[in-house]
Amino acid sequence: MTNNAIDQNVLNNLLESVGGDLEFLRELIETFFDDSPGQFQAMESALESGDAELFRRAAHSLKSNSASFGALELSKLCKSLEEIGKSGQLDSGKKLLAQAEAAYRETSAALAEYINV
Amino acid sequence: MESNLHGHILVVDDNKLNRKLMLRLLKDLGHLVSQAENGVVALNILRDPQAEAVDVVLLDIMMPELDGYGLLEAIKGNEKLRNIPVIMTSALDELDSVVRCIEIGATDYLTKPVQPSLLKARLKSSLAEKRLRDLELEYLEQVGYVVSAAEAVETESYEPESLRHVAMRKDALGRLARVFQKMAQEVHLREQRLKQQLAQLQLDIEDMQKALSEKLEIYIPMDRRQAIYNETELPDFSTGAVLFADISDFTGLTNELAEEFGHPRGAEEITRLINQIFSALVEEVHGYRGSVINFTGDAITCWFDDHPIVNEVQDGTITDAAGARASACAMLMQTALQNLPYRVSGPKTKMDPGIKVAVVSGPAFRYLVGDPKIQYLEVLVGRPLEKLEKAEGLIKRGEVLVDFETFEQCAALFAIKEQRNSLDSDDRFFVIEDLKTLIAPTPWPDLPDRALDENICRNWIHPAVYRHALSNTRQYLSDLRPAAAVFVYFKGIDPLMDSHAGILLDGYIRWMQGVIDTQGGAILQLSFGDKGSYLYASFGAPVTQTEYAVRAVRAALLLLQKPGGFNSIFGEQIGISHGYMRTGTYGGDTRKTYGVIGSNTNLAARLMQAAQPGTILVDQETYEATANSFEFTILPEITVKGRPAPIAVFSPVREIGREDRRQQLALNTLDRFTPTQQMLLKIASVIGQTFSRSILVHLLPVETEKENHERDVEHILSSGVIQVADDSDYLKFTQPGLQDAIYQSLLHAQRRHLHRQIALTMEELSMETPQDIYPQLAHHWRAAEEISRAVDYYDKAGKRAQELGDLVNASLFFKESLTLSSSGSVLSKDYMDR
Repeated sequence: MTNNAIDQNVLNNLLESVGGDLEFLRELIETFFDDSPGQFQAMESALESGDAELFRRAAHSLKSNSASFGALELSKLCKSLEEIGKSGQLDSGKKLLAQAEAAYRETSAALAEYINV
Repeated sequence: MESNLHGHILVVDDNKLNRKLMLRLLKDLGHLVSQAENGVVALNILRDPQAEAVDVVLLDIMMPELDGYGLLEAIKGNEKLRNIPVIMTSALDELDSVVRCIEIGATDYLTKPVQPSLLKARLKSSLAEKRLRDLELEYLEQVGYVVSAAEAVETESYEPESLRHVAMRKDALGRLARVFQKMAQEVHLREQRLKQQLAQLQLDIEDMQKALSEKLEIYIPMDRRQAIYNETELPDFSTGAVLFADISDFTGLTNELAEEFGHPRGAEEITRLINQIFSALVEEVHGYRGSVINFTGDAITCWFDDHPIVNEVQDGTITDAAGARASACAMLMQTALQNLPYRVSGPKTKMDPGIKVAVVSGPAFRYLVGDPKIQYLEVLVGRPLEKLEKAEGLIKRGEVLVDFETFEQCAALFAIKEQRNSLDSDDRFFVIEDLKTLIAPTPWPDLPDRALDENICRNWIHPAVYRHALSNTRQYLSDLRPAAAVFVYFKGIDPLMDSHAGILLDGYIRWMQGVIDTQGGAILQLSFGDKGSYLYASFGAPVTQTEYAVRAVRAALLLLQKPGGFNSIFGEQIGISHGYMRTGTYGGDTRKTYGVIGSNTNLAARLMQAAQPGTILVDQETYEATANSFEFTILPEITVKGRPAPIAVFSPVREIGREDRRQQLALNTLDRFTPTQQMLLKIASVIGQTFSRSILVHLLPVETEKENHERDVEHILSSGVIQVADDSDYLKFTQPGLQDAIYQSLLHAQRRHLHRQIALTMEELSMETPQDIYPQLAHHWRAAEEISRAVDYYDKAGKRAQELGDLVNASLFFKESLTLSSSGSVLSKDYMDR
């Protein structure tokens, strides 16, 4: 159950805030799983096309969502990505994006584990 | 309370996950939730008139399409939406943006991820604020309804229903609405009542307009009007017939109507009725070329000349003798009265007035007397008038009575019902059953509108009546108000014996008019006969004034002191009574007068008859109202007609002036004592209302003996003029006015001397405790006209009072001191410097 990718406390608080409704949490996490790949895809294509605004917005969403689930590492990376988008210097984003994708994989694994418990 | 704070929350966030979570959290808190993924969708929801109104917006900043800033600005810029609280939801690192949003108008913010407890708290306060604003808005809106309702009342389109909702409120506004509803209801009812009264008012207005459009000439007898118009004079002596018509029992009716309708309604009703009757009667008189010479209360005296003056073209149209015309007129008067459409009747009072009519024929004198600046008075005198006096007692209601002369003149004309003989003369009268022949009316020629100069007409109208007639005050038309009636009887002018009777009468009347006018009264009637004449004057009406009873009595006393030129006039008898009377102008549409009529008029006339020649009789009420101003002789009770029990009567002898009365009191009192005792009282009066026995005795001249003084004081004490005050050394005057009266009776120098003596004695006797009598010493020194000493004592008295904490008196004394010193007399500079 211990996974560095997510802060269990945050996830527990979230569960508590919805009255311990695990089913709802599961639904939220599934939504996260559904949406997140699209965000990454958006960032990648934005890197190619140089669409800084698109990049920033996708990073912002991912940052917000990952924070909700206690995926602090991922959220931190997304925040950096968002700042890159804001600065418009997308060139420096590619490496960071790869790191974020890695972090997402860990996070999603941890979350999948969490909801399957 | 919490349940009230559930609302409709709009979540605006492009992030699906965030929306989902927020939706769940809000639903768990019991709110109705809508969601929008961007600002455009949110605006559509906010503006949707079908949708439940949004109470709070939870707004993300970063969104595609319309972002948070854009939506916030749109909300705050919209009249209908700007009151919706907006809570920004943002990441911790977006706080800069949040500050900007708060500046634009956001209510609050929440950081994501959202803490449920914070969300709950923020929503609670925002909803509460929203509710408060909504209530405020509703309140303002409902205030608007009340304002609209008030406007509606003004424009008479008020609907009570319009305030139903506001009236259900439990707060002050609801109460206002309820009170307003009630008031509006009352206004409505009153309006209804007013409308009902409108018909009545219409009648009143008609009356008033009639009065206003009235020509002043209707105050002048018709024959005089014709003569003035034709620039001729009426003859002083002429033959013709006198018609007398009396509306029976009218005075009684006045009281009944006054009771039923109240004042002044009763007076107005009575006047309305009497005017209708007079209009009908006068129409007949003028129809037969007669003239109303005088109104005597509710009776008229008319003259029908055998050869009335008309313009030359129509002269000669008169073929019937005056007696025939007057008799025909009299018969028609009775018929007219039967046919009168009475407009006035109350539920209790039935209007059934009748008239008594008499026609007498013969030669008569016609005088115009009095000062035109005050008022001309028309006088008819001669044998027919004497016969009329006899006839009056013989007529019954509804009858027409003619004298023998008239009967003889037109014997063929009359069907006679019965003969009635006078009990105290040889006069015979006949009651007419019917007229055998028709006597065609021969009306006066019409005069052009306002044929007579107003300035000429004014000579027949008392100035006060004229002023009122112009001022168009409704109250004036008729009113019940207090007034005094003065009847003056006099003898000694006989037109048959004295060819200068008219001149003498004119002079005497002018003198009386002057006396009465000076006291504010007015002569209303003059009746002149060789056996005696009388005039009726009123005080309190038409000239409104205070102390009208005093003025009436004063005038009466003055009337008994006629100038030497009128020595042939004698046997004056005066009667005075006062009370509520019907006052105002009355009469017909074509002939009017001003009258003051009531039971007091009758009583005054009876008192006049009962008075000894050269004296005045007044009734109890007049006595009581004037007893302070006049010396009266109280006479035995007398019985008068119209009063069931004997009444108290009083005769004023002379007027007492205010100074006179005080002087009288002092002199009468002092006269009862020896010179030494008088001196004691005088000294006492200078000391004051209360005085010390020891000072009093001390002040007496040395040569008299002290034991005697004590005895004198005891004597005065036993007389009751003075009495012991609280302390046996102190005495006081029993009657408060007496001290002042005696004091005022002293000569100035004597007073000043005594004040000085008293001041010196008081200083001497109070060496040890002078501080107690500083005020008295100041007073006496002042009256002794030693101002510097007085100022000194006022200062001392002021300081003393200050020491004692009596600041009121202290300030009074200092003020006296200041007043005296600033008056400048006898003052040395050192006083000024202080």
